[in-house]
Amino acid sequence: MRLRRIAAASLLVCVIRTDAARRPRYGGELRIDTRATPQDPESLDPQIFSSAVFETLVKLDDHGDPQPWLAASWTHDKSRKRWVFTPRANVVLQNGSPWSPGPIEFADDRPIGEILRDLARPRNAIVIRGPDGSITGTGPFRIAMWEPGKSVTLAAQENYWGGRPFLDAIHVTMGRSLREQAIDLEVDGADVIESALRPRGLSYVSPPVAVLALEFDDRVAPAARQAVALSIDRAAIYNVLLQKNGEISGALLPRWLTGYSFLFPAGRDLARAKQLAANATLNFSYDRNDALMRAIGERIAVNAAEAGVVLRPAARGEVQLITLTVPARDVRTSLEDIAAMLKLPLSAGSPFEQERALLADSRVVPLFHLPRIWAMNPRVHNWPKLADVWIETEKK
Amino acid sequence: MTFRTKLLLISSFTIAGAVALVTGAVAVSVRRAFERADAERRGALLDQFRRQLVARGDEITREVEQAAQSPAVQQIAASAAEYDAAQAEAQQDSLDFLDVLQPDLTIISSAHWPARFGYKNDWDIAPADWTAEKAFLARIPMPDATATALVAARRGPSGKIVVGGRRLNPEFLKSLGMAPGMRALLWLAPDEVLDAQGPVSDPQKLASLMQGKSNVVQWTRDRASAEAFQTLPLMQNGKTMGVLLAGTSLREQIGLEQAILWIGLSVGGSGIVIGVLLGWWTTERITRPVERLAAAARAVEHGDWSARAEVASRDEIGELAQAFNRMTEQILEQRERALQAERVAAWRELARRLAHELKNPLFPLQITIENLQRARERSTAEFDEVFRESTATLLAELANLKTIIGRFSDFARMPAPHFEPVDVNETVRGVMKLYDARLGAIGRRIELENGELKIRADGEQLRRAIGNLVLNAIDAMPAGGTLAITTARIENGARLSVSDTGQGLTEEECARLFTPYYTTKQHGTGLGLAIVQSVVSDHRGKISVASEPGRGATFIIDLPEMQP
Amino acid sequence: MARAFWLILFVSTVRADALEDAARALARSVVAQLAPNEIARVSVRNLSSLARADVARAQLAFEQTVAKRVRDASPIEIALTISENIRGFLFIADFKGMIEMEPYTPAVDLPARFSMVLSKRLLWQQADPVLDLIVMNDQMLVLDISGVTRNERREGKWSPAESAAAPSSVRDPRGRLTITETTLTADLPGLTCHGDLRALALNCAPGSVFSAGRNTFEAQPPFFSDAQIGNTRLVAMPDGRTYINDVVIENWGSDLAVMATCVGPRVAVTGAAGRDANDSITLYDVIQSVAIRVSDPVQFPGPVTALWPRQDSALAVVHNLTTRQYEAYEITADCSR
Repeated sequence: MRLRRIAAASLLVCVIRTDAARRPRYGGELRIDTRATPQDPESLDPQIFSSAVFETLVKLDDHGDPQPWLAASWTHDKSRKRWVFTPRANVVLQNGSPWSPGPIEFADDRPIGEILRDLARPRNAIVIRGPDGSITGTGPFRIAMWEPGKSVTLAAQENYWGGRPFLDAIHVTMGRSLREQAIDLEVDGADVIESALRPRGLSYVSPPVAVLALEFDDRVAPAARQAVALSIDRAAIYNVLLQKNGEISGALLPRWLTGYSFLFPAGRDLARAKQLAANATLNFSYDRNDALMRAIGERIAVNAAEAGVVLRPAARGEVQLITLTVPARDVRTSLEDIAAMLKLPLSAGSPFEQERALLADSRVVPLFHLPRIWAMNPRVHNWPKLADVWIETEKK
Repeated sequence: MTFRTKLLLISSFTIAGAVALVTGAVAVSVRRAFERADAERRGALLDQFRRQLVARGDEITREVEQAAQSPAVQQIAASAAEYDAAQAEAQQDSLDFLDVLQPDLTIISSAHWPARFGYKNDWDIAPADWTAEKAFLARIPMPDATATALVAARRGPSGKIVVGGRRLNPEFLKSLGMAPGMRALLWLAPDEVLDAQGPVSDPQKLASLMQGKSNVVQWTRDRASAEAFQTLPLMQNGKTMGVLLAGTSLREQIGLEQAILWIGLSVGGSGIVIGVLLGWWTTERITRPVERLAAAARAVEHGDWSARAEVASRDEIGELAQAFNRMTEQILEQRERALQAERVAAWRELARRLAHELKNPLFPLQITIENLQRARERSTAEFDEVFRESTATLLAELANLKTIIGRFSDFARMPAPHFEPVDVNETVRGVMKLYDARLGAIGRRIELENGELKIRADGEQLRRAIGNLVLNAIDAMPAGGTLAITTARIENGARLSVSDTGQGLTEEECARLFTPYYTTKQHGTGLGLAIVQSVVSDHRGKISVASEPGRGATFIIDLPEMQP
Repeated sequence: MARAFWLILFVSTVRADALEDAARALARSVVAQLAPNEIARVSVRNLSSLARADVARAQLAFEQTVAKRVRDASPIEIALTISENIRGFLFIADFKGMIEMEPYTPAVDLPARFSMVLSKRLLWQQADPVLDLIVMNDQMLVLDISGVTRNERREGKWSPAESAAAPSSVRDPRGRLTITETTLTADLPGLTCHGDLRALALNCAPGSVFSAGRNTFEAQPPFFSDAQIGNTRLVAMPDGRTYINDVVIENWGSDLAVMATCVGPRVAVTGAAGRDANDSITLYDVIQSVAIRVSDPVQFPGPVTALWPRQDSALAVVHNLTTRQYEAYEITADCSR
């Protein structure tokens, strides 16, 4: 009896969900609009495109646990310092040649959990660079055409090890503003667009994965930072400007990821803010081209003015309204990556203690956790897992 | 200053004065005329503005009423996404500001500052104005500034309050019709002043105008950039919301004034020039003869007795010249006569002196020869002795005569001086050495100029002159005294003075001193001082004496440094 | 049946213990931070999806562990919050300015009961997608994406006996099993495997009724599913429509199976439900290209991923959206309805 079970495959396929009763249709091209203008394929939005073109050895599942992906299994020596990862069989590179690197050995004395989390990071995806500068991956789509900052076309990989994706191709148009994207969807120029707020019609709302926060330069006095933080009326912004999308938060990581975000205060204390303010004047920058960010930025300036802190709009300010994307479905990975993004040191200790240390001096003041919202044509199914997405044909 | 110059100046001042007066008068009346006309125009502009303000206010009131009644505004709810709904309504009604408020003035939606939803309306509006019928002025805080606007407030049927309006901006001013050279400015703050084109640069130049110090503003160094303003404060509830300034450019006026000035200057200038030329020609006829007369007088003064003034005309000047000439001739004749008389007197003196001098030796000569005659008649032995004595006496007296004659001869034949650089101090020292023994008990005070005192002189003659003075001084102090010799540098020459402490000289004696053969001495030929005078004269110097009886005499010789 | 009951009870007990263990562990770490004379005054807040009964159980376990008798007690407020994250639940104690946390991850639930519906009967369920399934007395052949497994029933419980590999790595995989006395044939996308029933071994060769690398039947044009009633052929096409000759039906699903009923062959049809929704199967009759509904829909806890005809029943494989398991049901039509 030949028993060949590939444990990973079962779990992999677990996440494939076919539609209710309509069989997914193979074929078709999906047209996506985005605001971002990445200059190279590795900078494509990881939330949608990670694992579409380049895959990692290990992937985090819905619970944040690392599962075998390109690596089928791994073993270690007695000292737990040398690791051997066995690559999955039958993986074919996008350029047609098989991916058979043989057992991957390396020395690492970190705990295995940390190693696996690190291997699951998009930046550790398997990317083969050719001598002519071309890049190849193992994912279900390959890059058929790339115009940096303008558009990218991904074509389905026929012999992808997890099964050819349903779509034939994906065409991404970059640098489209939200208004332009809305028009594209209306005139059937795009199938999936980004949306700031919940649209009418078909949409996909992710869990809150974006942190809207204020970032302070270290030139700003701690008292002034706290004054601004305590002056913000998050409830009004949440109810009116965000229309109750997402959630109010004082934590860096959202509740669905950590469970303890409510422990970080997010309330308003105008009296204390006035005491700390001491008539500070700061330069405040936010994305003026994004109507929602501009409205939130102006509202924050009005709140801070009440406490006695003047926030002057500027192109580059000591105070910035930033959006951080939670990078992974794992708390430690996300904290490490966010600390690196903010250029702040990460202390030791439990994730809660680490997060508390990051937020202790108010260099970063989280305000809200916002979902990512996509509006789409009703013909699109299974968004956002690109390998599973399929579109219905046109109704005649 | 010459007469001609005086005359020219007077004529120039007269012409210039006349022209300046005329120019000034014209300029002043021009200015007055302009100012009257400008003031009228400015007043008219301000009236027009007042009317416009009222008309605009009515328009705004209507629009706010419309907005308050519109269903869109009624439905703006206090929550949800409508916080920016006022913007659309404001755009539709062409209003710069529109706030939709709860009855308690909490902002539901603000068109110009959407982020202020939920806050209380902060426009500077007095409580009474919320229910005012007409539009009014208010200051509205904005994110980065404060705006002044004409606003109206109305209550909608659902109880919501709608307040909105338009900003006072250049558009407002554009609608005023203005004559060329006029403009309207709107002063809203010391650094916010607008005209029909937009913000005015250098609004701080209006500071003195706003303080009431002056009503003219000069914008640049160019005077023609000045403007005269009239102000109309825009009041609301006793507060000044802004000031309207109606201005008229002073460019034309100043241009005209400058033209008048230039004309005055050119007329005056050319007048002066013509006047100068005319005056020149006129005075030429007067001052030239006068100058010639003056030149002749100067020549005479310098010794040119042949100088005559030209008689070029028959007027007063000509008569003056003639008189001058006559006078000169008369003086010349008189001088000649005086010289003659002087010469005769000098001759007489000389003859007397000569006679006196010669008489002395001659008398013994006669006696001696008479002795000889008598002795011939006596014995031969007596005759031999007497012959021996007498011949000796004869020879001695003849020698004496020779000496006297020799001296006269010397005086007559004093040689022409031979000039060379001579140190006066050295000469004095030499003379003092020579006569040192002769001074005997007489005190000496020698004060010489520092260093060398070089002049061009004949050293030999100078020595002789100084020597004579020293001898005279010695002779004047038979009972002893002090001889003082000083030398000093004077302008263009040297001064030598020799003084004694003898009995002094009277005035008459001083005057006659330099006459040859005038002597106060018992002996001597009296030629000494004459020689001194001759030397001094040859050296073109000057000699004088100062004395008082009983106090000695001082002879002062001034010698020039250079000889021609 | 009794066994099932005890199993259920056992499972429930195990579940409760894990919950209370977590609450007790948290309580112990709180007690370690209290001074000897400090006693706890606990307030509880539930921010998770944990059921009220479970919250009460956790609170009780916590309070019992922190309780102590002390003279001159100084009460300390302890705020106990039950929160939730992607891994499960989180118990958080906030007291004296300190925070203690304890995670609680519930085990995957076994179903509390078998679904019994009049016309559906659960035969089998597993985590991997089931492509087809045949039951023969005490033997069950399961075709799934890794191959064929033969299960044997012992003491009422199925357990795997042997298996043979025939991996298929196609998105939305299809597969069909046919057996004879001694052999079995597995049709997979692009691959047909023959094997021996007695000693499970498969020989696979390229070529199949199913298109290679796709989820359609290999034909021109490719189709998802078809059924024949008399002379009428019904075809479910990739454009989402079902064609009965020239007649187009817009609102059916992509799977059809003919079932023999007491009144003749009828076609079982899956529903045209929206995404992520539960599916249903309805029986239709077709007369002159017109489809007439003859039963109420029978509901399933997820989408139907495979529907194959059996002699007088049908086999339906459903992906349970809640449990994520693939469930194989026998669908029978009861004439009394």
